[in-house]
Amino acid sequence: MRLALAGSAALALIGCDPESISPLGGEASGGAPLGGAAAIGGAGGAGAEPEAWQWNLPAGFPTPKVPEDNPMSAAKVELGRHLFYDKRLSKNGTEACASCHLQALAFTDGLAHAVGSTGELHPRSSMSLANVGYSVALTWANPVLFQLETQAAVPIFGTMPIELGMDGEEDLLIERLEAEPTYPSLFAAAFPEESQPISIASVTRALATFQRTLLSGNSAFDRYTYGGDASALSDSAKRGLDLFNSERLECFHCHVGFNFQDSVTFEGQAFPQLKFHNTGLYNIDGNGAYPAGGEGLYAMTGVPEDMGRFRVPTLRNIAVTAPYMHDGSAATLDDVIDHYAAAGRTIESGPNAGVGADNPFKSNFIIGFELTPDERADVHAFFESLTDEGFLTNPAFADPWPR
Amino acid sequence: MKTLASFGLVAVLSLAACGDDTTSQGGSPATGGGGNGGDPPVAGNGGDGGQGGVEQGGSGGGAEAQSITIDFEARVGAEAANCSGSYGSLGAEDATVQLKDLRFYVHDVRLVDGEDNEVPLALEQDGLWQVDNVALLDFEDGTNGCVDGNAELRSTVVGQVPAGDYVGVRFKLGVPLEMNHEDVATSPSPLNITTLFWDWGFGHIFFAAVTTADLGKGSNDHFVHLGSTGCTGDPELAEVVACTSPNRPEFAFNGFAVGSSVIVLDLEPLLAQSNLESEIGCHSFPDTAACAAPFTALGIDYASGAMTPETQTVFSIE
Repeated sequence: MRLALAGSAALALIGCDPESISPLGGEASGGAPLGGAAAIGGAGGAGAEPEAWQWNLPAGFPTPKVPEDNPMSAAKVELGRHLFYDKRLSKNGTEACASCHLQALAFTDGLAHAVGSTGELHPRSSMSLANVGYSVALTWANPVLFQLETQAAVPIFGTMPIELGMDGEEDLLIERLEAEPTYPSLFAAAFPEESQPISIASVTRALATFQRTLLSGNSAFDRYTYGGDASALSDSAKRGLDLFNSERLECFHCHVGFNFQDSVTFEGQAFPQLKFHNTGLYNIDGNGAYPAGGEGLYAMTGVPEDMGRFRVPTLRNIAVTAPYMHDGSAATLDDVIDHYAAAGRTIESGPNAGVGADNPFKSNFIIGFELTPDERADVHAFFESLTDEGFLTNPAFADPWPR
Repeated sequence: MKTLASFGLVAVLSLAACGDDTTSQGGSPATGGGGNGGDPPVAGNGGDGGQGGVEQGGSGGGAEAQSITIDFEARVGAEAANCSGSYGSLGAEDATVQLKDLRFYVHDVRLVDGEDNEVPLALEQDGLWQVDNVALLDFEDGTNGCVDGNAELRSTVVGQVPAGDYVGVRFKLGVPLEMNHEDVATSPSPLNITTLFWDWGFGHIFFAAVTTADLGKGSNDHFVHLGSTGCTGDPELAEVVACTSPNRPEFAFNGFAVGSSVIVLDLEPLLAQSNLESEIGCHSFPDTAACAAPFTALGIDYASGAMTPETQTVFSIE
């Protein structure tokens, strides 16, 4: 019921903010057709009766949870898509959400560390947004960030690090959005109940709504597992799947379920759990230390045992989301396999030197294993089978702005 | 309605405590004994978030409301703290600094009568600086280095109490738990200020004192950002439920004269042991050595998160 309160708070905000009283101007009332854009969602454009949202879920996927005060709508998805690809959301106009979340890379960016609009290096590597709507909590290691709506404020307004750099520039952002001819009708269609549809809350809600549509569930693995197509996986990939799910490799304990992720939530699931794990990636001081700025959950909780604990990322599209781990410190999937095969990574020299296998906070499932070259190839084949080409190229997720 | 209900409960409880404390029902002309007739004299006037105010009005009964303005002043030693000043010999390195930011939230403001009874100040719900029982104080005007702020200043907390003789004032720094972890994009003013919100930590910066030291070649910004840390959420409720270091110190002053006393914030003791030329200071993270001294000055033991009001040296009244 927290969300109901947030809703009433939003109304109060609008009523109190002198900046928001100014009318939208003529362009809002014109009902100008949006061209092809509104058609993509499949549910009428501005002015139409809101239609019940159809998820069109991949086979085997549960229904995502949606906050009561931000229901799904095609118009909101379309607005969110425009915002996601809009560099007006960065103060200096150089970056959009999509700058660090590229569709072709399953909404990662191929970098070990994301680069903010002012050039600041992010301590983390951009996470994939595939199926992000099922996450119990967002980002790599945050035990208090539960909603995509509130997460959206992190890249837009956050200062540690600066990503889009809009902290304190809410008025500037609203002015920019109001000045873009495409937006008034998009916002009005997405938030028809709001007297002032263009607002910061509308921006974060629309971004969250768009992200909930980023469903990836049509890989070869899915066609094999959920689609009844026994030929969708090669024999090698099938052997790799068996290895993945074996007590020898133990991968499946954390990378579990339809999203290969242990902390997921969805409609009808009453008891979501939020888990973080230390995989022995570092052990700088022999007492479990991770590099400064990359301590994971510990940085939030201050609990010693939380050192190096991070959320389990999905393995969907894993073959296209290198480099790996929270800091991109594993360049290839072979590096990742080596890390787990060794029951934790040993770094021989340099400031991060240490034997990760001996990290006292390491998960008990990181026990090490040996793979023959053929078995390693099989695991690779399984990873490759998780790539969903349709997700990487779906025009509904692509940049809607004319170039 | 968990949050709203729990907050409403807090308001009711504090009201009840107030009523219990003033057990001289009838003895004092201030207690009306429940007559609800007429407009509650201390009712919130905004129609928004006025739970506390309405309850207050009910308790006040026929008591006459007294409008109270509590003045705050910000100083660096003897000088007024503002964005145009330059302050020398500050901190462990005798730095010369200018302000970049100086804002803080207070909540749960109470006046205290001669018999040590606390009476909550029902804050004016102005839609800008105050909401529910939280008020923002703002000593930066957006000029010079104060790039995170805006032109508006605020040095008062305004509200109403039942008429009476008050000799003390008490308040807490920060934003109450119930309101601290809500969506900044949908929160009411002044809880929607993005530069006073830790997006990643999903909570408000309670107290921001930021200085910049000109080093000739470049400059060094030093932060004292106080906020709740060690917070954990409940994945079933999808909300923050507790923080191991809430970091909401309470300040209590006797000898407070309504209308003439001023609550003074002094940055000199806050920063006395800080390296303003060479360190970035304290964001309330774990393991930040630079947090210990300013936390002590604010009345918090940084290591344990415990409140230590006897160590606070930052606030005083005059």
